[in-house]
Amino acid sequence: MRIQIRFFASLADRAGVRVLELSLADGASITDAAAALVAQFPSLSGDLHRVAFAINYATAPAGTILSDGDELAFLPPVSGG
Amino acid sequence: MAPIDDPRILNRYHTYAAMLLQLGWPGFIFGLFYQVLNPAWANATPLVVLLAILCLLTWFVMIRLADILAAKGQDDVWKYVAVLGLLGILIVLALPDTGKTATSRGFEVVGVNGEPIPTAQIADARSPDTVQIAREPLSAARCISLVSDDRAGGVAVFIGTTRAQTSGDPKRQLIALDYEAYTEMADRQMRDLAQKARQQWPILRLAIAHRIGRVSLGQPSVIVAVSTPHRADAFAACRWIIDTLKSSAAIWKKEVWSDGTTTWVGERECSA
Repeated sequence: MRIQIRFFASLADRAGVRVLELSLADGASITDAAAALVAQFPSLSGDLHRVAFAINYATAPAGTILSDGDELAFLPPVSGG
Repeated sequence: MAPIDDPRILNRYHTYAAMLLQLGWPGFIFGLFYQVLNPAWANATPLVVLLAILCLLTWFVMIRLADILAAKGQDDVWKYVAVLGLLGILIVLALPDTGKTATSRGFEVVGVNGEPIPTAQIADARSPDTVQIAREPLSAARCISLVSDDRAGGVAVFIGTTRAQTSGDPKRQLIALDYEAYTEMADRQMRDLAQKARQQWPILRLAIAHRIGRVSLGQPSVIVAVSTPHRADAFAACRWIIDTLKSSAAIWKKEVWSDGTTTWVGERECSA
């Protein structure tokens, strides 16, 4: 399945990219996606334990199973307002 | 100089008066567009320009017609011109003002974010909840007018501004904050916030506006405005909204320092 990955703030700066498409096996979870991304962007390896995840604009825990076409966002600690 | 009762001079003054009355015709054309055709078009600048051009053309055509008739020996042509002009003015005055607004004619009204609002729901063209994430400078006055309501006893407004900070090094001063948002998610979160706030307090109207991009010192980065019947609720709701927004919205800020360096601010993990 193909999902869309979004990076923000310090993560986007670290990875050097804001949006990308990722191919994953069916039934993969957020954790699997994160592992695949760390393999692709080694500079992110230390960062992903402090981020929150969102699937299709709603927060989701790391074990959530992804579906084809989902948008998975990696959100560093927020600082709005 | 010819004496004042010279017919040529009298004719000229009559013609000027007639030309003034000719303004009735452009008025008629404008009134026609406004009342019969799409009233929303009447406010559109391009149409106003087109109408102005049509008005001038009408005017010149009338004067040319007057010249032609005069050349054929009709010395009192100004009478015909004047009558036509008067007719134009009378038609304009006779057109009934239906008193209808764009809304009641069924035209699409959009909220401040461009989202369509079903016209059946509006007695007042303003949406009760305004949520905005935008690059343009924020206006507290605008937010206040968005939440003002005859039933409100109080309006509470919070304005978050970029605060000057020092870094320990006198040469390194904060000059601005750069805000970035996951707009699709933050917008949804802010609307959820509005809904949750309404469940807790009797809110009449609220507005939440967050700026993205560079916000210089002293400039507003976020505004929350709430109107309620009694002031205690306004204060409480406003405070809760900004506190919750700061702890949960998918928005990030980066400190921009005078030496050109930037640092992302890390507060707490996204929780809502």
